[in-house]
Amino acid sequence: MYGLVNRAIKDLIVSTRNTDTWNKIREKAGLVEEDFLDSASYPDKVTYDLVTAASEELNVPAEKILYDFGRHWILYTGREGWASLFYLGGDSIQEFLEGLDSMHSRVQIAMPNSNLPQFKVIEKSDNHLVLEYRSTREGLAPMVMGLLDGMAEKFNEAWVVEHVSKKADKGFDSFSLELVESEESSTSAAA
Amino acid sequence: MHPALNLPVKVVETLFPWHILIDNSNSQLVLSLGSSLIELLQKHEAVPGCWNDFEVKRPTIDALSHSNIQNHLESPFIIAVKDTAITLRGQILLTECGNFLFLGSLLVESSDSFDKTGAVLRQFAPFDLSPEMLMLHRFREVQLRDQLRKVDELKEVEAARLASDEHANSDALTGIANRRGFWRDGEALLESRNPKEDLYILLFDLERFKATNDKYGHAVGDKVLLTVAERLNTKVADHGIAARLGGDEFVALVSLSCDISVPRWIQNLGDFIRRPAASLKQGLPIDCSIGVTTVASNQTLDDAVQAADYAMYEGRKSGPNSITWDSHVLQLRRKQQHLLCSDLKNAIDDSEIYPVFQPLVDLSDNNLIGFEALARWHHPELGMILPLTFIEVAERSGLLPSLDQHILEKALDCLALWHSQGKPYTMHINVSAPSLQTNLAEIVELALSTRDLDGKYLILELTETSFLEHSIETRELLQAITKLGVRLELDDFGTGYSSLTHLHDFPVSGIKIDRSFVAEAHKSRRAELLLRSIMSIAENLGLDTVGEGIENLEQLELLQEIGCLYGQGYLFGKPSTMDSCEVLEFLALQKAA
Repeated sequence: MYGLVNRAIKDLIVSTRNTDTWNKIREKAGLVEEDFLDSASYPDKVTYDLVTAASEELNVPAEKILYDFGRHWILYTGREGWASLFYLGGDSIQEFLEGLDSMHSRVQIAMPNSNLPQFKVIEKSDNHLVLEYRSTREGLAPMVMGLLDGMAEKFNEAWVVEHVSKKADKGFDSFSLELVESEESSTSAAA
Repeated sequence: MHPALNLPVKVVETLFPWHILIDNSNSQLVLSLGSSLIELLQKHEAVPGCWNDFEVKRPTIDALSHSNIQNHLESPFIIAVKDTAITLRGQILLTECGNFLFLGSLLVESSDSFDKTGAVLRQFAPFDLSPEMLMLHRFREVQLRDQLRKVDELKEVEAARLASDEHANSDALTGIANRRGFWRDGEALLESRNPKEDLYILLFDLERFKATNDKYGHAVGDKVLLTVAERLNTKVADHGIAARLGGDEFVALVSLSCDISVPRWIQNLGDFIRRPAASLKQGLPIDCSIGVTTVASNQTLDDAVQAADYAMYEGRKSGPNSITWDSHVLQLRRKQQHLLCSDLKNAIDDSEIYPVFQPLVDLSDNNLIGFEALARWHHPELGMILPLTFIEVAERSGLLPSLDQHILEKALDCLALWHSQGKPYTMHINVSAPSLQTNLAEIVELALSTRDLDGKYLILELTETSFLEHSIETRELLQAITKLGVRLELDDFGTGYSSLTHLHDFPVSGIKIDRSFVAEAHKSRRAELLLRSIMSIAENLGLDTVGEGIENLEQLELLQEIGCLYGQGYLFGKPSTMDSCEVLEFLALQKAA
């Protein structure tokens, strides 16, 4: 993983807890470095160790840490200057997800060491999408859940996301996204 | 030949569904990039008269006229979109129908360019590399930021390292270099030595510094060290480096021009250091001995410092405030000592060093009462080594305590044997100053108990310099020793700095009057008076007295007359091995009779 990911984890811990907690997690994960370089590639183990250490230190399941991280990722990358690329992906979740592989293939040019996942969007209906997520990495589905919820928030769309099948079953993870009418729009419609 | 494409308009429209045709007077230019460019141009109200929004950067032409384009068909074109950070980069091709076709891509020059365009990824043509350019651009920004962070981190690490290095290489008290710093900077100075100058090592040792500490306290002692360091640094800074090696020892490595009188420069430096300091108590002297050596071109810093140290040490023997230069004689002596040093430890372990015994007699009846154990070294190759020589070697190599203990053990072995033969002699054994920094009381106690000897038969002889170095700790140690029943005698009495003080401060039970007084007393009235005065003091203090160096009957009779209790000297017998002592015993009996 690029250091950008690990820095985002640090940012999540520091912003929701404090620096002391981060240092404890870092030490627990056996990391020598106090910080990461965004553009440097680190072994995946570093990220997994961080998540495990955070789970132990905060007494929170690793899945919850990953979910929170997924949501935080959208906020973090936007704040760290990647917003223009994010918006380049599209104006809605569907558009964004449909262009995600294209985006990733272009990201790979800038970040050749990245091992990026693949996403396939199946439009079941206007309000129902199925997202297939394929990755060589294990156990990151909770993070995708967080990413989807984070994206929905970012695009101001009300999607109900559900993890419907796991990699262990089909070789990939599937997520169901159902668009629900937001309270605001319902109110407007009623009006 | 200009490149030409046979592309009818319909084909162009098919291949490039997103293109724009710019009517350029007598020719048309098709710009094809994808919808993003269309939107961009529309935003700039590009059609008609859109060229107002563009600026041709390359090639250097005024405007995109038909002839200009035709003359540069093989050139890459860089066309800037005015008021944006976007440029079009590509090549213009001539189509069969006489139109120009621009094929190329957008180039963004800042990562927020697309925020302004509002374009999304799917709007870019597949061959349009501008999104990649945007990502690369962004990634370069990240890399640059990382590099800056790395630089900052490296600066912090470097600053911490420098601070740590400075701390590790400086003397905490005086602020000048310490031993480590001296070696670091000294080696560098040696490597970059000025061929027109000579390098000198100066080694400084303060006289009686420990006595100053004891008498005036460590705060005053520290002020002395600070004063010396400051003065030394002031004078040396322009010529080299000064350092405190530890304790009261300082060193300087200086590069001095061959044109000046170096001995005078060093003399002036010594005088400057010794000047009374206003910050110190009135009358507190700063005395120091200086050893000097010229650093030869092939000499190591370590060797040069050792040479200067040796010279300083030799100079101290002749008195305080000496300046002693390393010499050929000293070098030979140092070399000999160096060789002996490596043999000395084995010599102690292998009992090449052994005690000889010189008799002591009761001057009231000339009866033999005991012996003083004296160390001798018979080197397997060099033969007998003079005691002064190997004791100095032992002192320099830190082996004096081992040597003392070795002689103690061996002498007590003999004493135990004599006692077992019904001869209750006493044994006088010399103890050096460094031994007073060891667990001497325990060593003595164990040595006595393992041989079932009573402490009252052992007399330890101490020199006054032993007391000078360690007052409080020494007093406690000596008290522990006297609790064993062991007696203490002050050796070479009268030759030290403040003998009377020591008689008062330390638990000594006797004095050995230095041979210089005994030698002169029967010849000089003044010396005799001095001897009588010493005897009077000792008598009043209830101290035993031993006259050393009695070589003739006149000396013996005088000592007997003035009431000296015991005597020692060639008149009674030279130092001998235990076997030969039987002869001494016989002779003593004869004399007593």
